[in-house]
Amino acid sequence: MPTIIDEGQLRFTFPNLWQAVQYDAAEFYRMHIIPTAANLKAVDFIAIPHPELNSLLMVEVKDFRGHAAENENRIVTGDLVLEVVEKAMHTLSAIYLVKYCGDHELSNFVTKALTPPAKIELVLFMEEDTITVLHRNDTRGKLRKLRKEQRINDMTLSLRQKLKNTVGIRSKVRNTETIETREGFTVVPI
Amino acid sequence: MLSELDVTNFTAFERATFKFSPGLNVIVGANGSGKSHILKLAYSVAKTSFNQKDPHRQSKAVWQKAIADDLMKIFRPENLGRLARRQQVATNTKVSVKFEKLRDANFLFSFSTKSSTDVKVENEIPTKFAPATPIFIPTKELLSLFPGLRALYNSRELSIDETYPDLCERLEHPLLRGPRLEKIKNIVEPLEEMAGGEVKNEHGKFYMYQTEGGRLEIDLVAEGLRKLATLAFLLKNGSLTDTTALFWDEPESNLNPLLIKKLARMLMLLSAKKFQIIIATHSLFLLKELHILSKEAEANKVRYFGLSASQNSATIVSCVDDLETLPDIASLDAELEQTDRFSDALNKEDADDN
Repeated sequence: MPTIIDEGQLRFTFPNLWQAVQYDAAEFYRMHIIPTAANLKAVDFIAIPHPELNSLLMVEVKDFRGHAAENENRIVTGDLVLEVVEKAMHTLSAIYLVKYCGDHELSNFVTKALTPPAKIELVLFMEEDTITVLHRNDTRGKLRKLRKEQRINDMTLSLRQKLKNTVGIRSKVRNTETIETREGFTVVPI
Repeated sequence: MLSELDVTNFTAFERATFKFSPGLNVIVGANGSGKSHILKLAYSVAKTSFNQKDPHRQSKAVWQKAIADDLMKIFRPENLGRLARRQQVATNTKVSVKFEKLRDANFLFSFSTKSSTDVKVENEIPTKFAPATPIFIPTKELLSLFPGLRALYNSRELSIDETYPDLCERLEHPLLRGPRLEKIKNIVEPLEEMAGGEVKNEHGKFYMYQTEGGRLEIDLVAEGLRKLATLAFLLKNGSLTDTTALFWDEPESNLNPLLIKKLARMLMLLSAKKFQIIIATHSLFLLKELHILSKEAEANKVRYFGLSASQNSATIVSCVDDLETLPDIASLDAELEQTDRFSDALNKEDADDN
């Protein structure tokens, strides 16, 4: 059975063999982490793409559709990237303790020997309003499309600057238009 | 102030009208669409008009010769007919020039593909004239070339167009003092701040007195800053006033993004002070900066002229006051296309890692 998780107005479907959990709603995070360290943040989902834990995927979802203006500033100042990086780092640190807390739901997310997975990946899933360029002379549309695409590229670069050579975490920014089959999971608006 | 230029069969244009605003005008177009041609034509006719002021020059023959001379020196074609639009059959080029609130300064002239240096003034010769000689800032910065360039141009056959020696001539003027200098202080000071100092002409050579102290030979100052400093200097020596039309070809060249941002502020500041400015640009960065400024204050207005060229057909001109409605911006298309390729490159790196 694929795992289906709805996050706001987006439906995430993770394939059969994957283990996927809504981490920020998991009992482990709610009952063990928050009471101990209320400032420790959480990503939305964590998943293991293969039965054996050789890679770990974290997904943080931002649905900015209809809320472009309120979030503009966070994106431009880089605060959003910082927030997402922090959530990922907090999540990784916290799940180290899964076994100690005797949590079953997340038990597969750490190995017995507590060796980290060979590959850790972070996906910032940022859904924004669709921009259509109506015709070849639609400068207004083109300018908005350019701004959106450039911002996604800038955020990708910024995430990688923070995560790649420093702690070896891979990262990408995706939305429903850019998600590819090789990602393994699918997302549709609901 | 130049208010309208109407051209028929001129270089890339079959028929085009440019209604210039009294403030900031921006000509946008791909290479070969005729941007610089319009800038140079407007400069040339404004220059002719001002120079004809002399009461001894009031005959049609003198006017015709002056128009042709200026065009020849500014465009440097082999013969004047080369400025006519290239077509299978011989064509007649017409140019109509109109000035703001100076109807008697308007003039209309024509020449044919076969013309070597002859133009024909089509109406009565004007009885009023452009109030000041216009300024043309070419793409290349001039402060460092200044020593001797004008003298060399006057005595030798040089392959440069006349916009260069013209600007050198303006740069030779000594600085204003007293109340006239005091009057423009509020414009000059912010410009000098942006340029990082004050430029002075000492015995024919320019030096930059930096805001933070120190005196540098102009050749040692970053080229982008030299361009900004040129503008401040032209204001201080009285060459650039609110009656002078300023033409600037690709002001963004050699400027880094930070300086382009300053440049946009500078242009907007001058335009708000009622200076007429006509620039030609390739830079989407500059266009975006101007658009940002135009949304900041009601007084910040920009008029855009979009030149669309397609192969073998005449350039089409559209004129709008809002960047978002300006069609066919080549640099925007190029930027979008590059962004797409850049996204692909980022995705590729990420696929290789997997």
